[in-house]
Amino acid sequence: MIFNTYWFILFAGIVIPVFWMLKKPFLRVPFLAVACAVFHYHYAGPAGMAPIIALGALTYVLGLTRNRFACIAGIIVSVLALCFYKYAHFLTGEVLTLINPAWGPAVEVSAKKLLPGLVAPGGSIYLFVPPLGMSFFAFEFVHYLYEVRKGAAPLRNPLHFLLFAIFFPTLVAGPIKRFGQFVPALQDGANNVNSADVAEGLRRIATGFIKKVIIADNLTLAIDYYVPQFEALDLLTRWFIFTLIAMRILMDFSGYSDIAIGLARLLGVKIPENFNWPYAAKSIQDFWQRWHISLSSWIRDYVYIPLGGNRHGLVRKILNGLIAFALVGLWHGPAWNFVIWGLYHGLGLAICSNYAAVPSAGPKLQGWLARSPRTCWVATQLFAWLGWLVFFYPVPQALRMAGLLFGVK
Amino acid sequence: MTAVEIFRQLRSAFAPKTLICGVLIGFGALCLLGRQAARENLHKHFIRFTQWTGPETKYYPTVNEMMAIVRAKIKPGQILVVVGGNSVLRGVGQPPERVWTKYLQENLGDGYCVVNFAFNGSGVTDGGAVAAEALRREFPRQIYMANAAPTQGSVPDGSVVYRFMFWDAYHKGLLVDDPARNAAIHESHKLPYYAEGMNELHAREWLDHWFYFQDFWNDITLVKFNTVWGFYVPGLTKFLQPRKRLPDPEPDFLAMPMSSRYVEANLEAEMLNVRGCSVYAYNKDAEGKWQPYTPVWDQFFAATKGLFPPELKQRTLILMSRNSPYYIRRLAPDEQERNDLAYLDAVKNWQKIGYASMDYGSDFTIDDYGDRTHLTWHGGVKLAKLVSVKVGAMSQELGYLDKR
Repeated sequence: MIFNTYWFILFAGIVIPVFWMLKKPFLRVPFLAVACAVFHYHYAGPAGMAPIIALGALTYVLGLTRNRFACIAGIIVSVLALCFYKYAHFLTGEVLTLINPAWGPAVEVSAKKLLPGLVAPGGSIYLFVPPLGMSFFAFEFVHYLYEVRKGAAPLRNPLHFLLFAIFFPTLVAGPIKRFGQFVPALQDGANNVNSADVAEGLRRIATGFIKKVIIADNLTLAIDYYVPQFEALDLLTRWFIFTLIAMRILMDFSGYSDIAIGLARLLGVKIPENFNWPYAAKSIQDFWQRWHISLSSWIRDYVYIPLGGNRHGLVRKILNGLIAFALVGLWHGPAWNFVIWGLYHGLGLAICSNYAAVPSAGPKLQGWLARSPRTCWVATQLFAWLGWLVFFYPVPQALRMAGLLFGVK
Repeated sequence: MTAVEIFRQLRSAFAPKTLICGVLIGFGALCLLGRQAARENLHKHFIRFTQWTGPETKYYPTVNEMMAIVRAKIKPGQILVVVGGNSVLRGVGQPPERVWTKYLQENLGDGYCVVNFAFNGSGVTDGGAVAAEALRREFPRQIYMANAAPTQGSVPDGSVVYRFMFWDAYHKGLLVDDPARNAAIHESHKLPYYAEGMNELHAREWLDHWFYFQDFWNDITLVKFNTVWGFYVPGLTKFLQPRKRLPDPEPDFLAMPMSSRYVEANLEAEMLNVRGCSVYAYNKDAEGKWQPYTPVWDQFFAATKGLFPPELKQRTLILMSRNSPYYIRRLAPDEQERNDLAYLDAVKNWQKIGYASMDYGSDFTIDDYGDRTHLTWHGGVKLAKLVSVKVGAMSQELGYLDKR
């Protein structure tokens, strides 16, 4: 995690007080832009920064044209860049190999021949190493161009666009920003940052560090120790470890978001919430309105709805949902277990939102569940928590662990 | 008072400015506690750093902590003997009540104060070296010792795992400003392996020299409660117990069966290690005599450049740790000859560049060793005897005995 590196503590310890001391908004915004550029350069390096500068400049210019086709071209470039940097290795190594075992290695060999100067000593290709925060950049740029294409006013001030792209609190792990919310919040922060913002920011940062460093990191050590011996544990301890796995991911992700939101708040910038007590959810729909809100709402707005959403009948609705959730999974990393985790949730959501339509049994079940909120809560959480096994471990291991929880060896 | 009123009062108590002041005061108070902890000896009845007080279990001893141990242990007029080096000198395989430095203290008597600051896998410039240098003004009559293998050099700021100690002392202004050492550090950091993580390390140690958070957290985890979950503590919930309560877990090698000390399955790998001490350093000439292979020894001289400031070289004793006869006997006669030569030449070469040096183990038995390199307490007794004679002679040469 970047936020608990000493370099970052020094950086924040200098940048944030200077931001407060500058007083004038016209000085604060350029200062913050320079600070964010320094931050990005330090952690991404020139090789990681260059593609983002190119992609950002292109997005900014295409947005200014307000041309529909230019915006669509920009969206395609952003998506291709994301696919290339983050998923090219997965596509060549996993997807192509699945179709034909000879194709994947052949493509990699050709790529290495074409790009000899970019092959690392281990044999991997540097270009396939995603720049820092690539998923966030791509999603934010796609959102920007999509909204401009739909008629929103583009950002004319390059500093505002720069800060939308590389605002340091959210650069590495989100939340995924919307420019329509972010820029007014930025201006508000530059104009009116006050002691209430600072106090709230400190509170959120402290909460985030407690969640991430004290709870999640310690849980990670314990889980890494106990999971390899999962089979040898007694049933109660297995369920205890299973609970720790669910707690770890919540504390890790939401802790990181808390720190990002808190840091932004120290600058007076209010960032939307990313987690809202997801383990209190009583249905899968409810869970996804509480878990990683910025990602799920992005996927809803820019994948699910453009695909047709629920407007073209039940089959298309389910298919659109599965595609959207497969992408949610893939967004977390280029691996099959993430895709399966996404599909698992997509399927769960499809069942959850359509079971009532099943003749006779559907309405009865719906009525019974409406009267048993605790059952709904238990079922939802069990579903979501079992999903974490697929999220973290290879599918066969996850299935074995799930079986062991119910005494099946 | 209703619940709503209590909530309102609590909210007003945590009004923004109150909260910010509270955070600042709290932070300041923690820094003061850190400074206080840096002055206190956290390790009562210190024998050596254990598995629970080393980086392998995420415990990072500070230079202040080591200095405090010395200050608590040393009596007026005593000559300070700091033992650094790796697991061999830490006494792996020797239970705490029979660690070799205890025998060294007994042999040297009341005129000396022996402290064992060796760590597993550390080099000649790690841990103890930093503490001894930081204490050079306070206790100028001091001897520092560490062990090494033939042709093995080091890096002036320590090996990657332990160099936090050097930079901890550096940023606190406790080390000699030696241009030769600075140049050697600069040179070694040109290698990516050594350069990696340096910005982060500098930032940490620079911040620590203001805020003393490392001493604060070491005090908490050692004396109050452990803060990092570790597999070494049995049970999921017992990890919170303070580390000082965890006993030194070092086993007694001598009480273990031979088959588990000298594992048959590892024989080939261990023989490679034994041969590695000399195989690259010598070539046979036309008459079949071993001759030093110059590039390897040149590399040794390059890797020992600037390790210690000139004024600290003479008080530094480098021990050449020989391997167990269990393995040496398995070498061919000419390999044994080459092995002997490597240790003797290494001693000469360390002496040539200004250090005191000696080898040990040529007359030790298999039972003196717990495995290939580590000594049993029985071997520790022998090592203590040899070293105490050398330390006595060094004290004489350095004029420490005249100043009593």
